[in-house]
Amino acid sequence: MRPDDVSVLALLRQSMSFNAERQRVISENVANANTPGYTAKDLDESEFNRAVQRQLRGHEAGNGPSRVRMLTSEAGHMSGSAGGSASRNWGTTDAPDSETTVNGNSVVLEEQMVRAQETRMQYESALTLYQKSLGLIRMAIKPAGR
Amino acid sequence: MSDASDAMSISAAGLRAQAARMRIISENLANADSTAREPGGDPYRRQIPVFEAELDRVTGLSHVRMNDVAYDQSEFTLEFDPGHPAADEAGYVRTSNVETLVEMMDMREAMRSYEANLNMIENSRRMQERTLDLLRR
Repeated sequence: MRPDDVSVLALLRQSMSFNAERQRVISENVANANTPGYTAKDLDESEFNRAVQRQLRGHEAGNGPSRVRMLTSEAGHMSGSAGGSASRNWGTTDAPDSETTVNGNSVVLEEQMVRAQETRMQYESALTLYQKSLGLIRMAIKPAGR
Repeated sequence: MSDASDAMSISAAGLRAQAARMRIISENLANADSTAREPGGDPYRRQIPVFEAELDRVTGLSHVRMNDVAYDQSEFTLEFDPGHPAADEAGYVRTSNVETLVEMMDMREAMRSYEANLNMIENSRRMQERTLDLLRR
């Protein structure tokens, strides 16, 4: 049995991957807080909701939207991942903050900081639930009387 | 690489960019009173850091970078000082176009951005740390 066979764990893992990636996007926004013409970005939440719905209905066991893979026709071929990095599961959209400065930058540090804290809280609550669920399994497999 | 370490490397690039900006501001402030050496020469011209979001082709991450230093094209200030070696016939000396007040504000902004980036590193670090705690029990 893999951890992902337990649907709660799979769901929580998805939530964690979403929030971790969101944290990366926010880092990008904060780093570019003074770059002229930069538009703040965010992850597409509807994509996440769709993925969760799919998971709840049990249509697809995989995590995240299905990704395009390179074809491997020979045993020696490398599979390769689209886009250079393997961790791009969710699409980003432009999400400008409440103010845009004269040089076209739409990052407001305060709003990004709040969003970063929210993301962290969501991540950590998913993580704690994950921990608890693992604890339940662990309790079940412990020999009786010990 | 995981998202947390990606986030940290992005924030580190942000720290580097803001530190470079601080260096430019220091140069401006230090040279605020620089004048030309001879009559008709140009005094110190204020420098402006230009940031750019740059795609790292290896990791696919978008890093921020100070890719250029532009020069402020505004007018130099004129000061009446006939005894100065760089004074023109009318007795005026051209001094740099650095506004100390503007530089101070810029410095504050750089500090604030630097702290925000540090904050993000701390955030990502703690997220990763708590995830690694899963292994501990």
